[in-house]
Amino acid sequence: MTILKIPPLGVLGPMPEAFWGMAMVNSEPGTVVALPRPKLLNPAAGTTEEAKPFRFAVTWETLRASLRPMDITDEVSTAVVPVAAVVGAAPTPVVVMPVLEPIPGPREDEAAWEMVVPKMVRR
Amino acid sequence: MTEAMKNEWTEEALAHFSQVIARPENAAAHLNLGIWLEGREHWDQAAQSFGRALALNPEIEAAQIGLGMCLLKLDRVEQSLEVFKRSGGPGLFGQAVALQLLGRFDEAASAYESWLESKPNSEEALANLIAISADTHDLEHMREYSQRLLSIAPQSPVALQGLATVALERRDNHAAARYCDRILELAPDCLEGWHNLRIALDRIVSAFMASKPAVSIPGVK
Repeated sequence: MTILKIPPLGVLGPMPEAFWGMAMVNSEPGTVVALPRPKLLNPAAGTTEEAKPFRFAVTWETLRASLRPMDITDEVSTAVVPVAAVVGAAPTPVVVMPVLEPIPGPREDEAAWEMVVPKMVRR
Repeated sequence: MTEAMKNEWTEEALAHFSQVIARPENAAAHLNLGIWLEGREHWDQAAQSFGRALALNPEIEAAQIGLGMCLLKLDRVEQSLEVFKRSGGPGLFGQAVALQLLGRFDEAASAYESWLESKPNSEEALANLIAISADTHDLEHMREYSQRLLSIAPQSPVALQGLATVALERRDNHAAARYCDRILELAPDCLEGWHNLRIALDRIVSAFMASKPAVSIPGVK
């Protein structure tokens, strides 16, 4: 219980009449002077101020616990690519040329030319 | 936001968006992006992601709840109520919240009570019921829910504020001062707590003085 701790200035509000009546300061030796009393708006009924309503907010943090991410499965959906797109994107036939092996022997540019005279063959 | 945070944010964003781009028909990818956006308070974009997830798979409860939450944030409460009605489980709590925000307090209180039947320790449901009691000036229910919440969570500021409100209204000023004191221990910045503590103490002092005969002090007029 800590109600008796000293609140900030002004929190306690008006003090009781008796407090002010008995509070004294020594202005001169042997004399007492009562402090001026603050006015209570309605001393019989206490304060006329109303309590301030606390602010009660509506919250929904409970719902956040439901927001759990899901594992993404690698499903390949046929709906991803429309059929029309598939038809339109039919591959163009490509003629594949066979790769020929190089002919062994001297290349044309390296060959030595020789005139060959056909011979007459007597039968 | 530090540079490292920015980088982390960017990487996370890229990861989520690339999943959606790579799998545009995958409901889970949209759901996960929605959750990520919702966590960063991009309510509108998150709602769209949850909506896409539901269009692909209407059974995903998390997407329903997420969409309802975003609609609440976007102040589209009627729509959120419809979404929550379609979802099970936590959707009941969402319905209660939406009804409360729409001012349909009786229906909201019934929904919270139903929720509490399965989750008797739901602090948030009790706190929202205290808020309803405050709106409807139902002191008896406010006391009941506040005490119930305090038994679950002895440090709950909402429960203490509920009990302080009831005590102040019923002129139980000693109790009000005690509750306000505890509220201020937990929340020293609570202006209402300071104000109401002063009101309660003022009333106590005034009542004390009114009960005492005047004392004459010699030498003082």
